[in-house]
Parts: sequence; C-alpha cells; structure tokens
Amino acid sequence: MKNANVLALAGLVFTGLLSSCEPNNPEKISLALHVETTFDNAPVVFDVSKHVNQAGETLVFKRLDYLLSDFTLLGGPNGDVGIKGSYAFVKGKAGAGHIELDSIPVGQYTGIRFNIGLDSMVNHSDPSQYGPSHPLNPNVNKLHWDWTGGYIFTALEGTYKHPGHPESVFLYHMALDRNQRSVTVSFPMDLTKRDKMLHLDYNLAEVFRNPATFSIEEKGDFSHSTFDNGIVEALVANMGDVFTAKHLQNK
Amino acid sequence: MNRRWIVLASVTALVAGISACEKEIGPAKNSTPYTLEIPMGFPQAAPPEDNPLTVEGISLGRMLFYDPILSRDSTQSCSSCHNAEYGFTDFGKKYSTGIDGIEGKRNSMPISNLLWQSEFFWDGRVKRLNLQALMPIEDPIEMHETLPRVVAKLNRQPRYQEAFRAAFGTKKAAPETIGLALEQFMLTFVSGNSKFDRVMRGTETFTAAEQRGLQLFNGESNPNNPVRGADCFHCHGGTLFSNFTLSNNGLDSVFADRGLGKVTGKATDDGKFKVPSLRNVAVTFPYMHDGRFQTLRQVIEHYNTGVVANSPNLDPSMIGFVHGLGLSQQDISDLIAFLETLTDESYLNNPAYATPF
Repeated sequence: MKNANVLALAGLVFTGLLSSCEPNNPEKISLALHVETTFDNAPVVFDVSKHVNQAGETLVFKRLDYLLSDFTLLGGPNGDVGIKGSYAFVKGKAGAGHIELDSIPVGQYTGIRFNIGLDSMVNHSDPSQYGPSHPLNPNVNKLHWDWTGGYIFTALEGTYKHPGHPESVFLYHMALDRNQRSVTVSFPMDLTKRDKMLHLDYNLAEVFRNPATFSIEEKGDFSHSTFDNGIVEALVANMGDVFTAKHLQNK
Repeated sequence: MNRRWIVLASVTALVAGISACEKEIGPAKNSTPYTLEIPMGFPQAAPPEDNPLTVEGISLGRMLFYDPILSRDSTQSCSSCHNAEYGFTDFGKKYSTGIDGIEGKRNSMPISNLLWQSEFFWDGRVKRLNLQALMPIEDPIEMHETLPRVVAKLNRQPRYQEAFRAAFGTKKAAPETIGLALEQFMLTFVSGNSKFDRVMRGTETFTAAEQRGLQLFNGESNPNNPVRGADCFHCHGGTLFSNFTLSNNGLDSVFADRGLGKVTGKATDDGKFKVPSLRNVAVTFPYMHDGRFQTLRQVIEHYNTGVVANSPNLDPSMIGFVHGLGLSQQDISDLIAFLETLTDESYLNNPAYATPF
C-alpha cells in the first residue's frame, strides 16, 4: 500500500513534468537572445582577463555597453518579420545580455537582423518618455548624451598596452545617427513548436581586425565620435561580424 | 498508520509555518497612497514594488529621520549629519562625529533624487535604501545603537505605536518597517527646481557666464576639437548630474581608503567611489569622499591640472584629464557660475523635509 502511494505520487509528478515539456502548437512564439561577451571564444572577464588584438596590443576591457534595435527575423514562411518597437540594452559587465522577442509567427527562419544603435527619430526622442525599466530609459542604460541629444550606441572602454609602451586607458563612445550599424546573423532556426533561446557571442576581437586592423596606439585611444580622425567610423566598420550564433535551444 | 498521520501533521505544520513566514510587510489597509511628482525631463522611475509610498509611511519615516531616539544616548538623529539646508550634508564639515566623539572617515554624502539610485554609501556597499537607512544606527562610530534596543524604545512610545499602525497596520515597530519608513521618506527627496531646471523649462535664462559654463560642462576635452571642454558630462551628465557609478577620478596614486575595493575584495575596484550628483553642489562642500577640497574652484583645479595619471584603476573617462584640461581661471569661474545654477532653494527649504517635532 505504502509503495503504491509512492508510485502514484511519482507518477503524478512525472505526468506533470511531461505536460510542462510537451510542445504546444501556437500561432506565435517567442525567441530569447542570450549574448555572451567573448574574445575569439575566450570569455571576457571585465577588469580582469587580458586579450591580445590583431595589432599585438594587450587589452583589458572595463566596459562594453550597447543598444540594439529593430530586430527582424529573416527568411520566414511569409518573408522577413520585423518585431516592432524592439529595443535592447546590454551591459557586458553585468553578465550575459538577455533579450526577449515575442509574438513571432511560427515557422522556419534563416537568421536574424538588428541594428547596433538607433534610428534618427528614436535617437533624438525625449528620453523621459520611457518607462522605469525600458532599455532606452537613461537611468537604465546610462548611455544618453544629455542636452546634445542622442544616445551612445556602444561604449567600449578599457586599458591597453602596446608593445614597448606603458599601459594606458582607452575609451570609445560610438554615437551619432551615421554610426548606426546593421548586423545580420545567419543561423537556421526552427520556431515552429516551442519557445527558443538563441545563444550569441559578441566577439570583441572582431572590433579590432575585421576588415581592417585597428591599433589603438596608431589610431587613437579615445573618441566621442567627433573630431576623432575617423576612429569611430573605423570601429563601426569592423562591427559587422561581431555577433555570431552558437546554438539554439528550447526555453 | 500512526506514522502516516505523524508525517501528514508534520507537513501541515511546515506549510503553515511557511505561510506564516511569507506574510509580507506592507502598507496598512487604510493608508493613503502617495504619488511622487517627477520633475519634467527626469527619467521615469518607480519606488520599490514592496514598499509603495503612503502618506503615513512617509510621515513615520520623517519622524524617525529627525528623532535622536535612534542613537544609543539619544543625542543624534539622521538629520544630525544630513541637514537639509546643506543639501542634506553635515554643515560643511569634512568628517562627521558620532555619539562617542569619534570622527568618521568619509564625508557626509549629499542626499537627493535617491529614487534614481541603486547603490548607496561612497563605496556602494548597499543596494537598497531601506537597508542603508539602518546601518548608521548600528555603526559604532555613528549612532552606536542596536536595532533591538531601538525597536524596544519605539514600542514604548504611544506616538510611534500609532504611527507604525497607521503606516504598516501594526503598532509594533520592527527593523524592517523602520527601514521601509525611512526609505519612503528619503525617496521623497526630489530636487528638480533649480535655475538650471527653470532654464530648461524655458521660464528663465542663463547669464553669459552660466551659459559658457554649461558649454564647458558638456564639452569634451579633445585637442582636435576647436571648442574647449571640461569633460564633466561623462560622469555628471544628464538631468540627475551623475551616472551613479563607482569610479576612480584620479585623486591618488596610493589609496588610504580602498572604497569599493574593500567591499568586493578586488584590487581592480580599489580607489572607486560613488559619483555624487552635482545638484545643489554649491552647498554640499567640502568635496570628494574624504572632503579634501573645500571649494568648487579646488575641485575644478584638480580636474584641470591634478588628475593622477598613474592612479590604479583610473576610470577610462578620465583619459581627457590626464594631460590637463587647459582651463583658464575665467573658464573655471564660468563653470562655477553654471554649477551654482544647480542650487534648488525650494528643495533646501522644503517644509515637507523639515523636522516634524
């Protein structure tokens, strides 16, 4: 009798687990993006880990904060699907970034596209309109640029040591409408049955090499996007492939 | 069979116990919700979900803030070191002195716009205001009291029994409700009506000096840029005049006070202190975590010529400072003129923040 009760209880729990794992057949589905900061597959530990860029400079990263917008699922059954009003703020130092994209029509997709930065209208919108936890709330992202108007799209800061030189700090605040950057990540995604999570890497090594080698010593160690002899333009040009998809899993 | 009943009884008792533990502290049923007015242009923010503001909760917090009953010998209250007229700092003192005559090691922090902040004390060691509020009570060099004794003292006073009942539905004080009430009161400290704010709203205009000071404040220090800037905006930008991060602004090459480093145990955090808001900065002297600068001119001179380039963990945003800003004395005067527009007299003299006794 006692054993029968235990089995019954176990069976009930097992049934419950099965129910929660059973795929449903929704019309809409959600996709979460999980973004890790890496340097050629090595995890970036802010303030601590050292990485060598293409120019042979040893880097320690102290800040990588960025804004993403206008997520679009590519190659769906009825074409591309834009997620209206989709914005994300990622603070690298806080750990992996987590972005939720909801109400995606079910289907097979070939990849995802989004912007690093914001379009001009949103960039110059009133920042006080955004709710307390909205990614564009200045108190959330600490990336709004005061009364000059507009947001910093990417804040990249740290220290560097060029061979034969003392260690110094670098700071790049990439802003202004012209520096918005579209990024496409190709990766087949089956979004037909269950909510999924796509694991992405933000590979900082790319920022310093692809397509052009970027030496901090040679190019300059700081920029606020103006009067910088093309520093931010060069960095943004190198950001086309910073995101790579690693794998897709059930949520 | 008996064993089964024993197990069932045990589980029931456990569930009942958990339910009892889970009873949440919250506002009294008949308390009056309080809506905080957010100044125009400020980022949106909300009080903690578990501590909604009420008229009664704020009133209790105000009593506690000004009552020396919180200290062991009933000589000091929160307001002893946080005076409204000085932007809730300690009357211009470098260090505050506790009830035993022992001097503290850091300057009394200015208090305003706490609703937008999530790290407290100069070293950011506390992440929630209700917890921060309790720490000076038990700090041996501040109020040097224990929370159980404070609770006992409060519970002996009918006015506090009534105030706790009105705010939280129970006449008995507890450390949790003391912290929540103090949090509620301090969250009402909103400063957003300085001359700067009125200029932004279009009802006043800057003088020429103030306007130039603003341009310097928001300008970058960049040899390629023909317009000279003081690079203040990096850490003190936005309507809150702080990014509220913890950073090293290049005061020293060797740290007498590790700041955040002592909290985290990480050498990479040594020398990092909370970036204070510059609202009401003209009245919150002296400056820096150790009060080393008496005047705003001394502060700006530090940034102009005194930033220590080899200071460990120097914040990267100080990169424009390490070779000097090149500000003239006139530039500094103009910057000061602008900073003085951040003084909010209606905040410093707000009767809602004054002692209720």
